[in-house]
Amino acid sequence: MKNICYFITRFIYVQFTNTVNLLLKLMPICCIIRIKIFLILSLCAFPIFSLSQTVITGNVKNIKGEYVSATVTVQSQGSVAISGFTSTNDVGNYSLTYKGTADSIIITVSGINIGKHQKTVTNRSAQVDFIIDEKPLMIKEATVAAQKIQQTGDTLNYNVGSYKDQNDRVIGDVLKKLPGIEVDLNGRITYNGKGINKFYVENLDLLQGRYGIATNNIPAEHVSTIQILENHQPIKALKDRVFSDNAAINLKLKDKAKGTLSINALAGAGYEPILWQAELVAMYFAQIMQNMSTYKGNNSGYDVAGEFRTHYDYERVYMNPGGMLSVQMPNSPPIALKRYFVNNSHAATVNHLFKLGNEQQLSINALYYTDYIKKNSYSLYEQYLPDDSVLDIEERINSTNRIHNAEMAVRLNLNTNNNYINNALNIKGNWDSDNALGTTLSRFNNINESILQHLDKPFFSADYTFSLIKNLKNNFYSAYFSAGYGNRPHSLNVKPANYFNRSDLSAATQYATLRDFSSVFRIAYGMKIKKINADYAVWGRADIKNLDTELQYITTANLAETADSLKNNIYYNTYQTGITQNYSYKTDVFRATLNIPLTYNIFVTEDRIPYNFQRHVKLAFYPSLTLSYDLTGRLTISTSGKIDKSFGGINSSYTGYIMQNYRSLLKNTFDKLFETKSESINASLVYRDAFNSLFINASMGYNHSTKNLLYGYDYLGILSVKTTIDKPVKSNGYNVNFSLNKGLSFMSGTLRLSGGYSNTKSDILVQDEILNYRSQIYNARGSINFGLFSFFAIDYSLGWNMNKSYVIGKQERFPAIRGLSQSLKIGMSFTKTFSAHINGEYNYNNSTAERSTTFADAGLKLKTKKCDFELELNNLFNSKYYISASYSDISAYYYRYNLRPRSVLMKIRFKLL
Amino acid sequence: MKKTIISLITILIICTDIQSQFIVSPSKPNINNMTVIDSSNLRIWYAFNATDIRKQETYDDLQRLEIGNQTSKYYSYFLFNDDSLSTVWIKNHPNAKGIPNKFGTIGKKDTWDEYIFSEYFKNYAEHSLTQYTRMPFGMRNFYQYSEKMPEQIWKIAEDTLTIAEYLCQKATCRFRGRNYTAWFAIDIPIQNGPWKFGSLPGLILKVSDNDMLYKFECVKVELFNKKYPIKIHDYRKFEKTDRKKLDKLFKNLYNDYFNAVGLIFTDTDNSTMWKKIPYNPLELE
Repeated sequence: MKNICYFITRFIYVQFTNTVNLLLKLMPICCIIRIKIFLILSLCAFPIFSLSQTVITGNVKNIKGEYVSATVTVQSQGSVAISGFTSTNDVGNYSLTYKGTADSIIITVSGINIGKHQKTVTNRSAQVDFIIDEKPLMIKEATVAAQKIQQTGDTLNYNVGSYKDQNDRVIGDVLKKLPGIEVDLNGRITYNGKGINKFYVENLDLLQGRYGIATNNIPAEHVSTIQILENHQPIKALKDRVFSDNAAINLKLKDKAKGTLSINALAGAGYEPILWQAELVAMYFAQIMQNMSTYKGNNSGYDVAGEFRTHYDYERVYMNPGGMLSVQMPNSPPIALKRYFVNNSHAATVNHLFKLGNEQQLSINALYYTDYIKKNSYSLYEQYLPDDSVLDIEERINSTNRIHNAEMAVRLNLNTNNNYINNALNIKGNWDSDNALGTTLSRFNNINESILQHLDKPFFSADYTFSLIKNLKNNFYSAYFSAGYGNRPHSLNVKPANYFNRSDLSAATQYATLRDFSSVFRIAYGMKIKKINADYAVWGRADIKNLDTELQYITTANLAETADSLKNNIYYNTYQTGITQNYSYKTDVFRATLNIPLTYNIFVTEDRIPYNFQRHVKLAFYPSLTLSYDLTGRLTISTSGKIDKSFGGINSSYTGYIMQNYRSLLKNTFDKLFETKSESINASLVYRDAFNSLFINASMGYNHSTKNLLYGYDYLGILSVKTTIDKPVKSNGYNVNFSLNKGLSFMSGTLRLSGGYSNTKSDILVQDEILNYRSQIYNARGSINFGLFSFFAIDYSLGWNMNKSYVIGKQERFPAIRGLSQSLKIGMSFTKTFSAHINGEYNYNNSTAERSTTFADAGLKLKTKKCDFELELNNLFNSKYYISASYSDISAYYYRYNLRPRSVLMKIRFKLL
Repeated sequence: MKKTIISLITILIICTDIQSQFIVSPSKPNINNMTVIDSSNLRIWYAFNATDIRKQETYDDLQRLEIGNQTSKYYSYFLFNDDSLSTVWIKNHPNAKGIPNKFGTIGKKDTWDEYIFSEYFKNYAEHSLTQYTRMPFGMRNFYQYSEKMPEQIWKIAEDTLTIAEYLCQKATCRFRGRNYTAWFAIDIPIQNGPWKFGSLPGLILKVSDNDMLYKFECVKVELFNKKYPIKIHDYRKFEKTDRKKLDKLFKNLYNDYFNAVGLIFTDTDNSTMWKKIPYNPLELE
């Protein structure tokens, strides 16, 4: 409407002026007069179009009289919206047009440095001048995204290219070098002292906790970035609800490694004795499917099963394969496995993951491991009895372990922001057996026996788990169910058995079958009350265990003898139900978690030989509290404390004798339920500065425990028999630890320092006498790795430990045991394709006659276009034995372990696909 | 020397990374070499192409507008954060062979983009705007150009909306070939805004083109009691050109990056074909 009026008036004006111009042209008068008439005539037309718009003009000056640069706006009175605007020119003048119909209008002069100044005028063209008192405008701060803008965020990205050197073949070699990351001898990865909770490759968890398979096989050149996801919560539905202070690792692969099947192989042969080694590794990583399958076998001392270790697992009932019986075998020495591991190993694994849809995945993991391990050692064990006599047992033993393990796991899970479902099935079978032939000597009764031990220890288990977590706004529900069954029909045969104080025994056979079934069910509900996350759960659990044992004496006349005192058929069932409450509070810098579980336990023991039925009902309360505070962006302090209680167990309930190994008999005098109560508290300080590559961890802890029964051993000759005294016993201890990890500016090097001290005090029972025992352990370790001139890679480490243990009230028998170990590794890269390495290790122990052992190894590597050649020389000095001794005031143990001889091994690594 | 080594390594990475596009230039400026040109009390943060305004990882970029008395600067914060953390890292690792790819928060865009790798300086007295752009890897030069301060002719509407706790009013215009909708804060009388926008009686807190290809939205208005300095990198080596020539160069890069940059491959695998990226610049004219 307004526009039409304007056009009409403008049209009229144009026509009018045209007519005027025409008239003026026709009029024979001079120019100036013509202009004057034109102007007068134009002015007459002016009121016609001034009806639809108001023009406000004016000037803006400050109180000093200076012109001001400002924004000038006009709006209808009562309206918050602006109708028109302009800026003042360089002499402070402005001109605004208002086309509205309000009676009054507001003219505003504003600028960030001058403030806001308004004048209300009536809606008609006018001159409105401003003289303003300049005052900076006060505006307020505002934030839309509530998140703090973080410098480091929760993900650290490490470019593999800058940490990898020519000798790094697999991604595990590079991981070890990253500051903040430690990989221990078992392949377990920790970040800032805490184990990682997930290992992803391209954001998918193919290996489900057996990440050694990835770190030992994925080539370093296939990975572009290693991402460390700090504070990782793998369950999306629990993100921001359940805080995690563990990190996760994700490998981002280079494009050339994605979507292609790669198969690598290795073949090797060598001497002393005849050595062989073979490997086949296949991997395929694509968007919707991943596969890693490996076969590894050797008899050259390399551990193939170590990479199958499960470092993290989802919650489930776990069936322990261990049994009660064992063969007396040499202890493994605390040195690198390849020096003493006489093996014949084969291991294969297939891991496959299907990504079904966006958030669902199916993974299947299967593994098979078989081994034939030979061990050879000499040991001397001395037990100091309270009457000051000494019981000595000398053993020279050759043993073999036969291992057959097979395992399969199938897992289907869904992980979305609102739902998490996990369905998992695990089946496991072991067919292991141990054999040992040895000579046992003892001054007691002049024993000189050649003893053969044979143990069969098969194991079978299956377990199924279902868990569901569902998120709804501020609350979440979860349900969890898991059930499992395990069976261990073990048997140990010992020939002869003369030392049982009978001269007519040719052998003794112990049968011990332990079966158990467990199932647990839990429903939980979580909600958020302001900043506190509260989780409540109600759960029930049943564990049914059956131990069926029989000890048979085989006489020289080939008759099998047994008695009720040598048999057990006991059911130990635990029924539990409980309520747990968990509260966690989190702000940007502070986290607190309080756990208050209350459990109602019913322990039912039904012993059938002789018949004994017992039922105990116990109510237990196990609170725990964790607090953590970020003093600065880099320094975090945390403390935690908890109280724990545990009851009985089948090992403290059976009453018939069990021959645990050829010279150990166990039984319980079962009067009461064995109870342990413990309290512990610890504090730690963590400093992390990723950009200076400095990570420091310091911690200390104290624990105290009380048991209501005291266990000990009586010696009948070389046979030890377990005894129990109804006397409460206390033990306590404290420890202090620190570790420091610093990335060095020269050639991506790292310096690591760590140390600790622990002190424990406890009561032990030996030959009916209670001794007050104390032990103190000190340890310190430093290591440094760095490169020199891009030609050498050097790794040096030094470790020291001191062990002191004694009985209070008795004179100290021995000085503290001190040990020192050093190792130096030098890698030399002569050209891009040819490199060599040489290692040396030195171990010193002040308690043995031959105090030190030295090892040296060397190797060469040659890379060609098609394959890699490796030559390895191990144990160059041909050190034959590892000797070690440990003493305490109650016993001394000295052993000598046979090592693998000097050997040479040639390997070829090549790509099949 | 270090720069050549880093460039050589990156070439090696590219040659094996055929599918990845637009690797960012590895040389990051030393933030200690910046000079102060103005000072300010005010800093406004904008989310560039955010999918979820609450989560920085869903932004293409987080950008900042610093308004001084004589100039204003508009630049990428993710890039500045990366540069400052790299400067600290390089100082501590002087012999390192290469540096971590990216420091700090990463947005969802992991390739080069003109609107993330450019800095815009508006000079009020000279009435001009200068753009400095860091080019993607392979380009021998970086570029800059100056133009007369772009002015948009807005048509204000009566609709209002609250953004970042400020009441904003709607305005629309057509600028260099695209139609835009903007929301300016009535209570912040500064004629400025993200990128090249301005010319409204209040500070523009949100602006987007009508095809929704580009969105700038304010996430924070930051005030300082004491003035902070507005700094500029040493841009003397950036070659001077004009806007039209630079736009043509960008178009060539998106169409055929390898050719535009002059990369030659020794392995003749056909998979080295550059996948043409759609080119949708803000300024079509």
